[in-house]
Amino acid sequence: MNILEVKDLHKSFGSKTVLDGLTFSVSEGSVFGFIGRNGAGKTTTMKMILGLLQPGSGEITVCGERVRYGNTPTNKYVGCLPDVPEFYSYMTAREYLRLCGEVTGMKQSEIKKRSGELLELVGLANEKHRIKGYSRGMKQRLGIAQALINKPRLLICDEPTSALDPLGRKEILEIISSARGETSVIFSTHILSDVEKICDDTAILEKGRIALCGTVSELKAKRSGSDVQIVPASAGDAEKTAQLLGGEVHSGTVIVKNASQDKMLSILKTISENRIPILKIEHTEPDLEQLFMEVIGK
Amino acid sequence: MNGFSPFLKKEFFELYRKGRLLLFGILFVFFGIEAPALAKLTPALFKMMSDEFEQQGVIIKDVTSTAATSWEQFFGNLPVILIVFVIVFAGSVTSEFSSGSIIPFLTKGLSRTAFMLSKLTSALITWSAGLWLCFGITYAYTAYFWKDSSVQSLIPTLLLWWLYSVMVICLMFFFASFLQTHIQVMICTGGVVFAMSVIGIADSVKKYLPSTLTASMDLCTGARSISSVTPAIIIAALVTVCCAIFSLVLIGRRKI
Repeated sequence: MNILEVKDLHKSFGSKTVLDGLTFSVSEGSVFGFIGRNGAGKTTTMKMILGLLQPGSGEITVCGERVRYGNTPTNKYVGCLPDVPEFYSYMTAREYLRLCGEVTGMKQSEIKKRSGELLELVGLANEKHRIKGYSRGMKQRLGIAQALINKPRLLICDEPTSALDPLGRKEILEIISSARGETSVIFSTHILSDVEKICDDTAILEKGRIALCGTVSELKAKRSGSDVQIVPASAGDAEKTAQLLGGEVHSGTVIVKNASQDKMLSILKTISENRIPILKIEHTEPDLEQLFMEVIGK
Repeated sequence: MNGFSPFLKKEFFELYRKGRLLLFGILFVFFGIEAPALAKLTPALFKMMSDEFEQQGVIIKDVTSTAATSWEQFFGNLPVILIVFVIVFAGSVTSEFSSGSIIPFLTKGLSRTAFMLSKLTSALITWSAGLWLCFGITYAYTAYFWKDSSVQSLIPTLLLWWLYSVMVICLMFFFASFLQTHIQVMICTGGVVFAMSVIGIADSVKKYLPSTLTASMDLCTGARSISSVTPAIIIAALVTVCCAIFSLVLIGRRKI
């Protein structure tokens, strides 16, 4: 069953078209990576799923119910973690979670139990200070706890790791990953290694629509082969090497695309025969980053 | 109206934790005591300074104070407290949207109507409780110090001032429902109040202006009857209700 379905979504701001027939779905229990460059429309899509922004046209359903702009009833199924969550700094984490629970209509006993579990999960159980003293990473962890307070069926994370240091990112990814048992996750980001680490399904958003969609391994398989990157010792040799090998020059590096092992041996032979001094030669595995760059035409 | 009760509780908790309840508590108690105290001390102060005035050729004779002096001071202080109140509360709505702190709650089902009503209710309760506390303190001290009957109809007079202040607070929330910053809210609220006082210079429209409700000494000394300000009462009530309704409508359309 699909927990989230987005069909033919359009949105423009003035003359600028942000979404142009966006269609995708998130299946129950999965972590869905939503990739796109800055300004691609990821946050716009998230806001529409939450009913905070009115779509130009198209339809969004969460758990089979249609999302309405304004006070959408579908939000009872949803937990939301903004990119930089803002809290009431005069409260403690426990007071904040109590308010979240009360707003969602939970009972006091339930709120107390759930707050304890979540603060334990995000590593803030022993934190007695007010939120104003929290680091960015701690705020992000509290953000996950508040998003999960009412056991949502869909957790929406809008670039949750983009403002964090590597350690903070690792912690957040682990927490999101551990939440997948009880909730589906849609996770927007432009950090591709994060997607490779935790996402089951992935979609690349470009020019307002989904350019590629599938599991991470399916997407990687869309590239027919890996690249060979050669850095000549002299920058003047780059053009000559590219001509000999049938490659392209990017910033002084010769790139031969879709190169098999046989092609690699042939490249080494050509370099040796022509006695071209090189600094580095690398046979790179296909990764999401290359695929992403191809999709966005860079 | 999902979430009204927990969010109202949050508003009072915020007032308490940020020290605003304490600030207004001190302010209302101080001005409650200050009015009769200053009125009581006025003759003594003039007596102390009479020698100095006499050297300058000004002769002061028998300065006395009455209950009216105390109430004049009290009603003169109220605009100051209202200005402080508007300054403190002007950012109450706008900051939630500009910082994004309201987003998690809106996505948890808090209705925007409940959000706005909880803000409005907490502000009105705080203001009203403080105003009547201030009045009570002044009333008790004035009754203790002066037994004269220089002022009448104090409660209706204060009720009219309260209506005017509620109108100003609702006006502030109306502007806060669509403006982006607390500075804009303060400027617009202050602008409307200023415009009323400028228009009030013309006698022909004076009786229709809500600012007439703050001519408290005329009302409580009998210089002007309460029935003479009926048009201003109706207009102030209408403006209050319209501002409250429009603020609820506009907050629902506010973009995030």
